[in-house]
Amino acid sequence: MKYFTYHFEGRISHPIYQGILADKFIYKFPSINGNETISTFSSMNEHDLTVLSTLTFEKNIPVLLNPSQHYRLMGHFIEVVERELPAVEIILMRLVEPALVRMAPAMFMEKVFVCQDTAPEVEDLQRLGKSFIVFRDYIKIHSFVAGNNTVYVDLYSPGEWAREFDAIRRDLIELGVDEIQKPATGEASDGRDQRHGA
Amino acid sequence: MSGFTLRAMSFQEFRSPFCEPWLSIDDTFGALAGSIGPQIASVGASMPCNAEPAGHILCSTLIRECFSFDHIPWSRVRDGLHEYAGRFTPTVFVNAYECASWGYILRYYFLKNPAARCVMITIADVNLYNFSLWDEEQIWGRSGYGCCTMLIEKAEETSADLVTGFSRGSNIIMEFAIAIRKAAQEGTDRIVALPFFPANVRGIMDTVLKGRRLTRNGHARWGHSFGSDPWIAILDSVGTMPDMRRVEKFTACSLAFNGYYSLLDIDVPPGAPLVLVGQAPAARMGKDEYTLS
Repeated sequence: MKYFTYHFEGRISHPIYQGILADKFIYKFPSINGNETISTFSSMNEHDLTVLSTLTFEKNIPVLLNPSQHYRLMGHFIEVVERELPAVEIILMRLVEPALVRMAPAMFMEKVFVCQDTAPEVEDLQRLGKSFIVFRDYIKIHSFVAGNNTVYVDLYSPGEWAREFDAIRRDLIELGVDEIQKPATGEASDGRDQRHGA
Repeated sequence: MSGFTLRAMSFQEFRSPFCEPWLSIDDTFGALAGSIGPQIASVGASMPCNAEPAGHILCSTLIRECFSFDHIPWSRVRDGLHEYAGRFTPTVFVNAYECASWGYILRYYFLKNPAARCVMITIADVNLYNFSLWDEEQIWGRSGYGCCTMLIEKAEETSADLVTGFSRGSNIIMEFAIAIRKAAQEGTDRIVALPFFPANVRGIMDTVLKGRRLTRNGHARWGHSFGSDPWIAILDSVGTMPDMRRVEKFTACSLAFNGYYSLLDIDVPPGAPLVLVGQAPAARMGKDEYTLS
């Protein structure tokens, strides 16, 4: 199948949700005793902290979104895709560290699938001839989590969806994701897009 | 009858700690591949479906920090597994939905490829960095570690046999139990395979699910083994049946820490290769093992 592919690459350079209260649904910590404030690291004992202290982490990248805000961004992206491109069949998202806060409700939609490495699925979805959009972010959501605050969006469409993709792109920019290269124009490909790395 | 059939399944309990703490993450994954890979190959080899599986996915609740710390890429984990699992090597890794991942995987794979008939899923949970916070928790109690591989076949027509959902409030146990009560009819011969929880939490579920046949709570034996729990419960239940001559019907149920859940009506036919391997209770650190079925 011939695909039209569209690409967006951006970076978050400031805390885009600063001043906005966390979504109650996302932030609520589901515990049998209603404890809403516990976090992974407050549960750690001396042994765990000693293990952590032996690991090395990139310290020069700022943490601009917390896990709750990260899910908020992912949920927002799905809502924008649903608004601008409801015909897209699958929304693939990258997530490596499930947070101790609940994912945004939109992330449970049937067409959404969240996995660690989207590349093998991109290959399979192309084989099956599906229209799909991939959201990969490397946002540093904690000082112990690797990331460089970049965001990548790739659309694989059966026809020219340039206008719709541009609306998604503009929405991300308005939200505070700075574009770091010009979007590729819609080009028919042979279905083997090599841009997908990790 | 359900639209889903369990064609083969194997669970192996892991000792804890899984590896000596001084091992590198690459060496730890090498050891893990040596445990998981042969299990995958054996389940794959007993594939009764005529076609190749439409997909094989590795999922986990606890395998997470190695990726968020960027200590190893998934592609290297996959390559390590390939040495043992060959053509049945999992292509994708999922941990977003935690213990409920297997249900969301089934939903996605049969959505993207409605013609698919078979999907293989491996659930692996191991405390890679020996963080004590994973060993015990307030709700789930003592943790159990291990690896479960299953081959699931879908009939051409399926009704609402798979339920994926999420809790909206803070009492996730109650919301989970109510979701099961809606899905599992009272007075049928279908057995509800529940996750393993401490007695106080299980007591809530027993009350809400009164009138249903439930698997026994394996928490004291296995600990809370994350997404593998209902599958161990099925293996345990089948293992106690003296002579299985008919299709046994189950509803497998998993609940994630954040309130996501998966429920699946699944039938187990007689003769399906089912293996349950535990570490000998007296030697959780040792090498003695026993097979229940």
